Amino acid sequence: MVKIVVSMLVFLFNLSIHAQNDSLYWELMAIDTPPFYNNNEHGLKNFIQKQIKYPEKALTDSVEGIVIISFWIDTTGYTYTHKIIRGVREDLNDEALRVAKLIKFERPAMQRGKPISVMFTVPIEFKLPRQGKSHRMCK
Amino acid sequence: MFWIIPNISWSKKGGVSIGISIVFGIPGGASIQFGGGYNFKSGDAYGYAGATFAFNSIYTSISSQSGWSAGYTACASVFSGFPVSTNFLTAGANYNITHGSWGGNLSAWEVNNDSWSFNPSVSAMVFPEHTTNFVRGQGFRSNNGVLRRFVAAGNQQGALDYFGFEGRYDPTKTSKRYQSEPGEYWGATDSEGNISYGKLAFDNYATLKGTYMKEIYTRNNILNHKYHSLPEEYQGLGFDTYLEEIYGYVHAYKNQGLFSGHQLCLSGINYYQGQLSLFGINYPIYPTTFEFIYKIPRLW
Repeated sequence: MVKIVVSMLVFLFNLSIHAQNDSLYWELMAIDTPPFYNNNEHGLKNFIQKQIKYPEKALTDSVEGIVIISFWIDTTGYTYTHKIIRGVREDLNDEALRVAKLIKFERPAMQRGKPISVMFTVPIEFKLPRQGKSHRMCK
Repeated sequence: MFWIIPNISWSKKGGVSIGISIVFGIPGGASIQFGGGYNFKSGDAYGYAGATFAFNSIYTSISSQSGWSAGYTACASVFSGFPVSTNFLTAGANYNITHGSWGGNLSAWEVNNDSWSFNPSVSAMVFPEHTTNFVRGQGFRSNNGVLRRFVAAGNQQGALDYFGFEGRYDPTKTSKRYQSEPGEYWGATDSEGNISYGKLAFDNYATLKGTYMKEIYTRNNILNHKYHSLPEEYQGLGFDTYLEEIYGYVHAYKNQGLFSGHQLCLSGINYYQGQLSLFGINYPIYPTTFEFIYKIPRLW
């Protein structure tokens, strides 16, 4: 429990470091079609969850949290220039980066009928396996 | 803002009339108007002055055959700014000062001297853009035609000033969230409410007006401290503006009738929605019930 609290504090610390206003403009973006992932956000979330291999040490330490990663999607759907926007701790960050690099969109974003590169941000959630209700009641 | 609006009208009893109105303000919203016309069937010449607020109009008129009148009309009358209007959607009362008599209408049914009669009418604006631009020294051209002249002369800023669209033309701005050539955007509003227009906004007049409407919405939200910010825990991730963008898109979507024929990609909202959805942030979507209503062309 203490470690969970510690990890939350680390998360909040990262949050304050990265909380910067880097988008001064409200743009009417020239994107006709967003990048497409099979089954949209649900499909992407499922893919991420299936790929995650919970780091052993993080499991032992009972650390969970959300790593936020941004990347660019190129004109073929591949992702590049992955960057951690908010991290939790090194092993979770590394695993999140590894998973993010596996993401490939089926279709790129389109601008006036032509593919363009766009930036995208994803949350990669590390959630410890929960014990079942009945099991907890037995305790 | 003012418009010169020629119009042609027909009614069952009165036949065909032509007229011209000079309108100051926003017709249907808050405007005053003056005008005159001629009815071919009766040979009646008339003039009027009136004021409209929220689809309620008061007016006084003088006619060569009926003398002075004053009246009130409500709903989508000819004063409301619709390109085509009919008395089916109106109710009104009229007092003839010269003869001391009352009249009125409820939809297309008119009452005069205690008798009801069915007198449908329809009125259509004729070349209101062309006429207004002509009076303003741009020749007998549509707004599109005027815009094309400004753009051909490389004077995009002149076009913005002429049409009264607040903001500056800036063909150098680039996005941090997608890769494209400088100036390849429609519009942008900075955190102080200053509006910029990119090259794409000048495709045609409707696109320029749509861009203005979307950006002025955001500008007003910023200046009135009403812009839609993300929940605090999601701020600073690089998409702080996305919720406001989505609301701006919805605003533009609901006002499409004001800029029919635009080249804006309203489907672009999906990009922002998809991004926020991943984080479980609530956002508005386009109305799907009776969506055609938003697309009905209107001038104001």
